[in-house]
Amino acid sequence: MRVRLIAVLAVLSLVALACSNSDKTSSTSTTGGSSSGTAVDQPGVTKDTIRVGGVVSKTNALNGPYASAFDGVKAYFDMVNSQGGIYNRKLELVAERDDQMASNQQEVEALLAQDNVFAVDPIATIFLFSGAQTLADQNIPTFGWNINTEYTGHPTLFGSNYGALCLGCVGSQQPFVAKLLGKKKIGVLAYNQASSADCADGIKKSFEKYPTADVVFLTKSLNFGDTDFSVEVGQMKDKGVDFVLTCIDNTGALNLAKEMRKQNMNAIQYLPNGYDQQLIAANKEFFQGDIVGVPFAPFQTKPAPKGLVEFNKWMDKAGYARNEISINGWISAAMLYEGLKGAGPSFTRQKVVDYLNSLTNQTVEGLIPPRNWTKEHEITHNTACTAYVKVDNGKFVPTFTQPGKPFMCLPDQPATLPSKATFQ
Amino acid sequence: MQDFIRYVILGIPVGCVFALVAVSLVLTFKTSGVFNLAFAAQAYLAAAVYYDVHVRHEWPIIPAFVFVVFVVSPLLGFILDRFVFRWLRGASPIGKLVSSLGLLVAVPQIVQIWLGKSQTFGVTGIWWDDNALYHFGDYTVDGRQMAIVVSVVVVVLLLVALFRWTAIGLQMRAVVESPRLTELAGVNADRASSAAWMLSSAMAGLAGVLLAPFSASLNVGDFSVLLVSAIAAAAFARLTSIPMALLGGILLGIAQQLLKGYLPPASVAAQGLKPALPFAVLFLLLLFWPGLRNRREALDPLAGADPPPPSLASAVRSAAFTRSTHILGSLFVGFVVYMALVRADTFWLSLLTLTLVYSVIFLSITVITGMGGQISLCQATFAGIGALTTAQLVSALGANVIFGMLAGAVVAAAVGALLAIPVLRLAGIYLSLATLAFALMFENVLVPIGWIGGGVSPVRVPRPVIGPFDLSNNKSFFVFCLLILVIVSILVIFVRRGTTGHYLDALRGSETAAQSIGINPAKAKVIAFALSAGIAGLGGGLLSMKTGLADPRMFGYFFGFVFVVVVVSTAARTVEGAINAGMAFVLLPYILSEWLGLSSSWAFILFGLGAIQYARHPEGTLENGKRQSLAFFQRQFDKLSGRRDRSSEGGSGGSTASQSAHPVAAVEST
Repeated sequence: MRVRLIAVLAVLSLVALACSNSDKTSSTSTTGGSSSGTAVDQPGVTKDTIRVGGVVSKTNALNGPYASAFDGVKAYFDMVNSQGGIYNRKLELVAERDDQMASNQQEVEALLAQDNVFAVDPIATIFLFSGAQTLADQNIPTFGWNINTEYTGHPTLFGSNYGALCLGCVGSQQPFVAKLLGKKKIGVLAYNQASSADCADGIKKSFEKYPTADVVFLTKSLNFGDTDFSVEVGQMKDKGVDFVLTCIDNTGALNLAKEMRKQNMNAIQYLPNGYDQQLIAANKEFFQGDIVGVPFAPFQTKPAPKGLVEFNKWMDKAGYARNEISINGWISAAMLYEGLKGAGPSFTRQKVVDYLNSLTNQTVEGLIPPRNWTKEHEITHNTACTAYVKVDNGKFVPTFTQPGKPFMCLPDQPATLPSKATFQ
Repeated sequence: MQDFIRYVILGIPVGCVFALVAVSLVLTFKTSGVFNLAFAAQAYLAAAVYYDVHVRHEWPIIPAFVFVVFVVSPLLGFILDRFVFRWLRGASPIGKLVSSLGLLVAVPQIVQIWLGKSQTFGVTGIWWDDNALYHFGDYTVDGRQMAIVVSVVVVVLLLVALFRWTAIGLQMRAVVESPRLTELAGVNADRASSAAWMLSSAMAGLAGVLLAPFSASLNVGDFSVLLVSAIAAAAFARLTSIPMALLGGILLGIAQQLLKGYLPPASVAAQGLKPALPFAVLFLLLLFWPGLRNRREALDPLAGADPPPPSLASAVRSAAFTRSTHILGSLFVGFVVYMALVRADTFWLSLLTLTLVYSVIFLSITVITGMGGQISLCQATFAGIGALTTAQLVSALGANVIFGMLAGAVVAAAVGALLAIPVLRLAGIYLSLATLAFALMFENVLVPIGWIGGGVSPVRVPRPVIGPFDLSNNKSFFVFCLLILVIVSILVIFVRRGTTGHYLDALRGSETAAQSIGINPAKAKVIAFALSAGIAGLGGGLLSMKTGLADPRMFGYFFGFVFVVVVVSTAARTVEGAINAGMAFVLLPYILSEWLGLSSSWAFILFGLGAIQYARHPEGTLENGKRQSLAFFQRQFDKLSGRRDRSSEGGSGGSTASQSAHPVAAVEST
């Protein structure tokens, strides 16, 4: 037995010695596609339809209820198709795939090989966008809710909310908001998980570079699922924290808010994931006065930009829920449409990608801050723009805004913080 | 001193949350003999029903509470008893543990399908005002906490009274210890068992309703996290004492607050120690707490020795039929390889490759569970160790990826051996819990360290080039994975046929008897653990090559649960079973969604339901079905070949002499 085992190991070792690493990380094989009778010969394009499919965490065992991203896409396609589609073709969402148990890569491969889609729209995955490299390798125009770092550096992947995500990078927005609010002492809370802890480091570095306030309390030792923050709140209160920035989920933020109220802590929270009317309405007394950063024009924007008016109209018409996730689906679909329009009647995947990457001021009819796709795929941008809302009696009220200009913009990583922001 | 008192007092409400779960676990174990990991699923189901009636249908709190805790939850308990656990009364605790794991995987999926895609915000608790504040000197608790503290105290008092002074309490405990003796004394064991399950399920329902307001939106993950944290308190109670479970929960809460209070919040120590506390405590308790070490699991004096496991399916066929199935099997494998390499598109080639990769990982469960008879809940962790080692060696040191993969297997094997040494004295569910504690410690302490877990972005892993073969070509990689699977399968078969395999067989039967004939159980178990971990690590490395990245989230503790459930629901004892499990895990969700138009969640529901059958069919549901179908075909085969009906001989009576004597060899030859 032992001899046989050694023999097997020896063979494996010899194989290892004979090897080197491939430069490529996955296959670049192409997918089949149906040709049309028109000038367009692209996978997923027929003479009367453009096939699109997405992958979203719908029933993930670890909870990712993002299915309404599909609703946003379908509502946008309804609008386009009601006007005759594009280039006499209907936009059709042919596949609504479920990112079940981190199966993102297989689902992405299924979209390309089984569903024969022209573009992937939307992507909304709770943990891991493992199919990103496959999509990038095959040059597939891809649009989705960017909450995963895998979008960064891939010119064919377009996030509806952000181009490239860097949780641990220095940013100017939060120090500027602290300055506007007159807050002086910052508390930062994060889970002991890589992305959460990285986010906390990013906040700390931001305030070190732009010292509008001092980070006097920082913890990265929370367990995911912690519901008790009594010690942390007690320590923050002792240190006079007046502005709490977190990198935790809504359950954590809610329990933190309840503990802050319990201990009569005079501070507000910046809620990273809190733009959800149902969440706020259900817990209005705990989130009162809190600030929420929103990467798209908030639903409360007045006057509402054209994109928001259309979103409301078509979502209501289809009976879909309007929320952060569905609007990201809508924006994703709008970006694809804009790419198709820009690519012209003889569009190709490459032309769509090239056109979008040439845009320096994409706003999706006012739904997103001006986005410069010549730089947006990398983590340093020209400007950093965010819309803000404040929680007031269970409702969101736009703040740090100007009429018709919901986004407050600052240079990204300036040497010093400007005295004034611009509004877009 | 003032700070110390402050943290102690702050720890009591937190501890009561742990205690609520721990008391439920102890209650279920005490009254049913099941270490009920499905508690999280039951509590989640109760919370979901409470949300539905109270928030969606606007029932007042009291009717909603009564409906959930006193109707729905006991009904669920009755169903679980009647259709699942009553049939497992004589099963080993580990069989019951696996059944509860199956429920943990299946039930939340059913609930999610029922709840639909909307978020579940705004669950309020049962206290008349969740947000009311109650001041005790400098300390304040809110309505949610008051509800838990009061409920826990009341429940503990009632349960203590129930078990100390009532006949039904005594009967429930008696049924667990020896249903046959209990029935001899004139007690209706079925009724007592149903009462026990209804009671423990009501307790899970109470926990679900009490804990729901702590979640912004209902999520089974929150219940699962709390469950695994509270196991330490249940272990402190030796899984038997309800007052001790309360005390254990409170002590755990106090310890957590003391760590939070005294460790500088931004320190590395805080980041490492505080999140690991419940799991480290559990691990230490399992190793050193008197009453858990060497605890006898079978208390039934009439239980006697476990009967030998049923013979493998392949043992019920004749030599001629075996040859026929070998030919058919070879043709099938050839067909699959042909389809993969010639006909399959990129998607199906990818799925088939993934099937091979997961089959390798699942072979590790064949070793530890099928051969060793133990349930390890950290096989996904070992796979993660292999994947992360591969990735870090390649990215940080520029190592050859094949070398990285082999090194990953060696590191995983070494970790497995190191883990095996302290947990050797444990058996059954205690060993399983120790492996769970290890998985959670790895996830919470080591993975957050950048050079281990890889940080925010997953570490990329390239495909290797072997001589003229560039494995970035998917077909070449498929062949490579097939080769690895064949090698590992042969290795497993060799081990099984060899001394270690026979030692493990003997140890499964009777450790004392095995020792009496000179078998060293420690050595055999360490080898089994190390081999199993090494195989999982190898599979993890292979998986990282397949996906092109190594991300610890792909190997979280919940995957460890799912892996076990998938393998035991197919067949844990054979190489063929591991491959079936690989196929089921990868292909079934797609078959259901692509061909039947069902949600892929149904695959996990099926796996869960399959695992529930583990205690009845420890060979696996598929293996059981295979035995029956083989027996049927054997009869047809005999008829065709003019032989007498072999079914009358029973078992493997008609096999060739060598097969009868060594049924394992028959399946290995497949």
